[in-house]
Amino acid sequence: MQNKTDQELYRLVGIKHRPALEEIYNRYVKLVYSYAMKSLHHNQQAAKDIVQIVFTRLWTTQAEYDFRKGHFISWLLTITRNITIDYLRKERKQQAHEVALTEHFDFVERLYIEPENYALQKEMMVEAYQYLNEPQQKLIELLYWQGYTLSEIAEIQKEPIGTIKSRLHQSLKILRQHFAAGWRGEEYESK
Amino acid sequence: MNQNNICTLCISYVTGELQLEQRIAFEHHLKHCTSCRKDVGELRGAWSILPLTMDELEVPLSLKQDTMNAVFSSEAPHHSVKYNKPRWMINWTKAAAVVVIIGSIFNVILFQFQNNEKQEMLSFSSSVVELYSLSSVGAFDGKGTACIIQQGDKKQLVVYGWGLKATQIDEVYQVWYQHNGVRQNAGTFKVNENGYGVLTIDLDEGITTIESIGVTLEPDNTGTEPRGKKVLGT
Repeated sequence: MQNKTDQELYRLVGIKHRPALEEIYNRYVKLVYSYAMKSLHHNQQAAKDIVQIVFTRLWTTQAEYDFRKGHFISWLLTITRNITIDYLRKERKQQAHEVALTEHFDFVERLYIEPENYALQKEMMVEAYQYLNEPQQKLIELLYWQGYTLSEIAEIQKEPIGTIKSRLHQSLKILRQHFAAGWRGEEYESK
Repeated sequence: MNQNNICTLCISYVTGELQLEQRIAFEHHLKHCTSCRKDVGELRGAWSILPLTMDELEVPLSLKQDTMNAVFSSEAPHHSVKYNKPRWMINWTKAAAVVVIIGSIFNVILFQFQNNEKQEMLSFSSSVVELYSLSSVGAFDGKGTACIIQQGDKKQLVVYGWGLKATQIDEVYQVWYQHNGVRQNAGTFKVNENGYGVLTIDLDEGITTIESIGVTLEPDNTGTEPRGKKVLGT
């Protein structure tokens, strides 16, 4: 199993081959678990539940994942995010996210999480994050990690939704530019 | 919709907050608007690397077994693929015994023969406090093992059954144990066509021995008392 690609493993999972699921677990549980822990503020029991749901979803999904459209880990983390946010919103007694489940990738991402280069990529992301100011960092935390919607955040912070949207747009642009500059040695264009 | 307005949906599209109709409209718009396509590509790129800010944590070792149990017992029997097991292997499975090798007081390795797949080795760096053999009762097939293990300061009861009839629809196998004369409900597990199921539960520190263990086949998992027939027992 260890020599098989993610795509081969996924296909084997589709025909209910258990060792394939176990190998995917071995490869990626750390990221799934860590993701859930960050989102759930280190609630270990909840994070464990999330892991079980993610792998159950993976085992039972009928989805035809197109591996040309992105790395498997991004897809797996998207599922993890959807499940975690569902959980968080239920806990807060909020309506389930109207997330058009982005478990389908429609556009090829130019940036990928590469598990084999994780440490290096993480270093670059941490570096890029320094360029965000406090409101921007807070916005990412509330929106991305805690699953609040843009309008909910606008209400909480008593700011116009247009401001929140621009702030997010700006934050993502900054992160992308600094990360890409470090990762691919691209020219950083100062705006 | 005003063409200018639709471009402003870009950010909500990236965060996945658009309602279905808006999403369809925006995706249609993307085919014709190069500026939005560029924006979406960049924003999506940044969105996809946000997870990188998380710390990588050590995953509790017990989570693998718990997860696989949860995943495989969630399968309804009619969804799983039928394996064509040669006849001699089926008999081998039924006849196989659990071989327990106690390597040291801190390492117990349980060998199990799981249908025609390779041996599944479960190793605990913990001590086995008590080990029980479960034999089939009446007309039922199957065998089982139960053990109380001490993992650090946590005590657990692990019950394995194999060669069991698959659970249909809502059916579950329910584990009961007797402690200090009182019957306790240890929980339920499902079994698919592989005939194999596991249950792990935490036990109170105070429990050092169990008088008896039984497994019944229940119509569903809502029972607090045995309703179905006993299948395995000490």
